Amino acid sequence: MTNKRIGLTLAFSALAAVALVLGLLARRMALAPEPGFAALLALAVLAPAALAALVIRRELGPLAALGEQWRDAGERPGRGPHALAVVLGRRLGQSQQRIVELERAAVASLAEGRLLKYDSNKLQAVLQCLPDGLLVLDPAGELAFATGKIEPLLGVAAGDVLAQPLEQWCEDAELRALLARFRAAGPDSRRPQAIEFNPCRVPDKRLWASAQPLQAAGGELAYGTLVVLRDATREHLARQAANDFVAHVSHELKSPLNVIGMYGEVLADAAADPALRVEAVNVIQDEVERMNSLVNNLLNVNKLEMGSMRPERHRVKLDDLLRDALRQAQPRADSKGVRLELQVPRDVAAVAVDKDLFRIALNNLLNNAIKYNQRGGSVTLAAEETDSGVVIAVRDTGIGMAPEDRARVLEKFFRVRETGPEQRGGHGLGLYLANQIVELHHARLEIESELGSGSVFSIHLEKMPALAEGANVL
Amino acid sequence: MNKRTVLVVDDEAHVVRVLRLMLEREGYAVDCAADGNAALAAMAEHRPDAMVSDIQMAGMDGRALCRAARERYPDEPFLILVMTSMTAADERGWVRELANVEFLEKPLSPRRLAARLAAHFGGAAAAAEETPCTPTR
Repeated sequence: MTNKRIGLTLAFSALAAVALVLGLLARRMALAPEPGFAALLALAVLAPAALAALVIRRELGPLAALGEQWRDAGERPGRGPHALAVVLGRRLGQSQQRIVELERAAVASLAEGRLLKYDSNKLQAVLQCLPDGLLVLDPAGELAFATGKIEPLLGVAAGDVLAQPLEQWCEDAELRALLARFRAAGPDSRRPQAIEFNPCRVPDKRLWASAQPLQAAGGELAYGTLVVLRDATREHLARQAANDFVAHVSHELKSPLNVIGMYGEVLADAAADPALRVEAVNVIQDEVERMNSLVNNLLNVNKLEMGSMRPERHRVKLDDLLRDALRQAQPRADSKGVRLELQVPRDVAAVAVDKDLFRIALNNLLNNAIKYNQRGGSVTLAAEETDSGVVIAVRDTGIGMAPEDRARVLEKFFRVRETGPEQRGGHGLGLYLANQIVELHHARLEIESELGSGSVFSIHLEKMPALAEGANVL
Repeated sequence: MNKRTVLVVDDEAHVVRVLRLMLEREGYAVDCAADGNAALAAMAEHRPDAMVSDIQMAGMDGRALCRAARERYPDEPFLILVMTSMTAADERGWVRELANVEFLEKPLSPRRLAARLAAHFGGAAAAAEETPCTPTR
């Protein structure tokens, strides 16, 4: 025990004794009923005074010591006023230097604190800007940190769930199971793991979540678990669409192959009726053409969806383009007993189109009009100028469509359900592709149709201004 | 002697035509339907001895048709042959849940179909023996 503490102890003991004596005296003088009460009262008065004396002595201690030094300097033998002044000057200089050092240290400490705060705020801003959601769970499993991005992903606001255990706010069983592996000691808790799941609160999303232990370099200090959440909805839908596409295409290709195989057996059957053999040859040819058309449309659709179908628009004389399209469709129309007509004025305005792409669109519209027509029917390809542009129309006298089919007929793979005896065997890509090509040209495709009467598919294009003399036209 | 009846269900008209021609030549009576609902209606009128069905059809598909046929006629598990181009195991597992349903791979061979039916009916393919549950044609 130090001298100082012995002194303090003795002082307080003396104080208590004085308080007791005063209490007894007070009782004796009938000033207080109980000696204990009186002692306490006296202590309550004396104790603050003693405490104040101690504090004052402590605060004045350095000054008292300085005073001692001054007195000491003045009383040292052999020192005149000049020597005294030198000593005092030196001590003042040291004191000032010390004060300056302390001030500098304080300023540096303040600056360092502000810099740390700035860096912390900057890091926070960086984390909040990340496109992925971040969660940090402490070793006890409570949420220690979360970025605002978790709200659109998980459907919970970061501020609402901080410092809460996972089980209290996380409704996603897959996510809880993933994080439970990190709380349990074992090989799973030491390496990153990832899952995909549909969050309960945002069911139309598909999330990818990766969790890994959050440790200091060297691995001595474990801060908890870091979870990264990413919106994987687009990738998931793309995978699903790709799988559906492959399944659909596989079916579309195997169907004509099935028919070709069966009619092939008919041809190989020596006992088959000659008329049946002729039918077999015709059907096989039709199915081969159907497969060829499907493959071509698939390739074009793929180019379109990959973004590699970029129209190169040039000024084109419309009547030549439409005549050419009709010529291409003639053999098919002849085989179906359908009449083709052209109604295009020679002086119809020119349009700016990609000739090759536009041919595909016209070809698909004409094939559709022929396919869904009846023997003896007709298909008319017409063009006329309007105030705002040029309208190209494909009119047929075919089977037409019900309103609910008309609303969907431009969808990819949509096929009108055929109930009649003749099955036309479309595969739902021709009109979809035609519409996409029309839209690439910043034009629009309109449909009018009546079940049992026929349909009109109209392409509305902008016309080009009149050319200057000598300009090139394709 | 009563002919055995085969119900052919497919929305592809050419498939139905070739199968009808081949099965009739083999001595079977053939009913046809273009989708599952039409097939159930045909079944209600006349229960077939066997059914050959495609899977992917508009309206009720082949899978739903097979389930409906077993649910409606649990005591008459006539042979069902399903034509399929689906090769994935998870797309075929449903067949194991139903009695007397088998797959036929596409492209379908009419000769292979005839052989399968003949094996099922014990060699006397077209001639039906006493079949108390089958109405006469």
